[in-house]
Amino acid sequence: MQHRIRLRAWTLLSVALLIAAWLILTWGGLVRDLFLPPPDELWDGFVDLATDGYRNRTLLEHVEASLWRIGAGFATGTVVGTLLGLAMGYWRPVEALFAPFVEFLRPLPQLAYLMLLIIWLGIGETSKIILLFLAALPVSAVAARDGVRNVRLQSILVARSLGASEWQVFRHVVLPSALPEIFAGARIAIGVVYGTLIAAEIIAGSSGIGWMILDAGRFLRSDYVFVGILSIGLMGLALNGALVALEARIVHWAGR
Amino acid sequence: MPDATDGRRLVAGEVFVSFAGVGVTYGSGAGRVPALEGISLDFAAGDFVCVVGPSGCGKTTLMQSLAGFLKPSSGTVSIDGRPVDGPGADRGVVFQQPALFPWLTVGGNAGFGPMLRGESRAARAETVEQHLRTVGLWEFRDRYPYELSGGMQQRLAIVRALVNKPKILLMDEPFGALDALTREKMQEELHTVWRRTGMTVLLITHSVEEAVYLGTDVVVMSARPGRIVERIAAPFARREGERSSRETKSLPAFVALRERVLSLIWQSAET
Repeated sequence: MQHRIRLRAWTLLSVALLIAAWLILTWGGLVRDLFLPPPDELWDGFVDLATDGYRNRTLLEHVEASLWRIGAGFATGTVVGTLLGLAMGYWRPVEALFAPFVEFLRPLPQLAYLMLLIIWLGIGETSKIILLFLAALPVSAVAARDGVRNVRLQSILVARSLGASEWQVFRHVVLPSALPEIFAGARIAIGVVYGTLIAAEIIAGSSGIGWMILDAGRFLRSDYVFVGILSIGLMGLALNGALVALEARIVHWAGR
Repeated sequence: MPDATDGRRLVAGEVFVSFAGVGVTYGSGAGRVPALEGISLDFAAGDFVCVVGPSGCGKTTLMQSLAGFLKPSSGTVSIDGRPVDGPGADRGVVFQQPALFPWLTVGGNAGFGPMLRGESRAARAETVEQHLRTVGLWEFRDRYPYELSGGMQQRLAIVRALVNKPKILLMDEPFGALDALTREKMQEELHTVWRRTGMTVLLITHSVEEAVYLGTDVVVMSARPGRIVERIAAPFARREGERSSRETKSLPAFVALRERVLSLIWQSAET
């Protein structure tokens, strides 16, 4: 316990040092505002964005636009990917049918096929959400498939000897056994989706936090850029934190 | 078929489990490895059969063929007059590793079999409670397996099999991963359960002492390919009276039988 408090203190110290360096550099006049805005200017920029907004949308609306795309792409991609992965792990023919596509798609940089999606679907919401869907799907599919493959044979044999049918083995043994890996896959997927979204908004968009950063950067509004980066970073922390909390609740036994 | 008559009972009417000329071969072509050869072994309901032999003699394969985890390459295994075809709820299984379901509580693990049959929570609660109480796990019913010690986990694995009321309990080195003291305690508990229920047990073990102490019959197997060397009746499982386990294990008759089984294993390992 004491050990943990000391570690927490180290974390606080490192953040405090960074902030102190920021204050000294900016208010001390060592760095131009353009490169690194001082705290008061950053705050003004934040208030500006929050109330007046950027290009007809407030900061919150940009965040909402990004979150909605992430939510839609991540949810559909992980659900479909997980179901596909479970089937691939359990039934070899399904694996044989889908493995080439999943394996090809997984290492492919999402921005490589973004262009194709824009050609096919335009620069609206559909192309972005499908892009994120395609980013999340192979990661979740592979995680779920490996989760099924790593089920302990003895657990299955015990269940069969307790009278489990094939479906019951899947429902009561294979599925729960694979849950920890499914969750691990979901966390990787949200990282991929998140990175892809910002890139997608930069290339094609007129809303969203990624687009806002790029557009503000063109006009050298470094205060807006910093507010954007901080918003993205905090959103990412919150999303990951929510997944970790959910994971700890549902698969509390994992690794024990 | 060599040794085909070894281990057969003379009175056919009381046969409960029967291995008839069972052979198991792993692999194919040049890589074929015969694991079991010409196993013929019958036993009656209520018998406690312990199988011992040098490692790699196919003890586990023998158990798996009765559990229905593998199909013999030759011969048939049958229980209660019906040939074994795949695993089933009539044969409860306990492995060396407890193989509990970590996402279920202690109570959930114990009631897994009845749950599969669609029994309601209320309907299975009584059996589960009774079984958990007898092994001292009732107060842990809402805990998870990872919160239990190794011995308690294995008790739970045995309870999970017993709650399902199998016709026979198949155990593969169930106490092999436990410390000496826990192991003796659990031998005692298993013995008590067997005396109370009169259930049929097939126990695979590499402890000769355990086999002679718990078994009504000790089956000695030879090194690969596994054959039955000898089947010996052991009198200590059905003993009467209040003799403690340590007293029993130091009886001259016990020591003599233990040494006899040991020397059989030595001989079979050398040839």
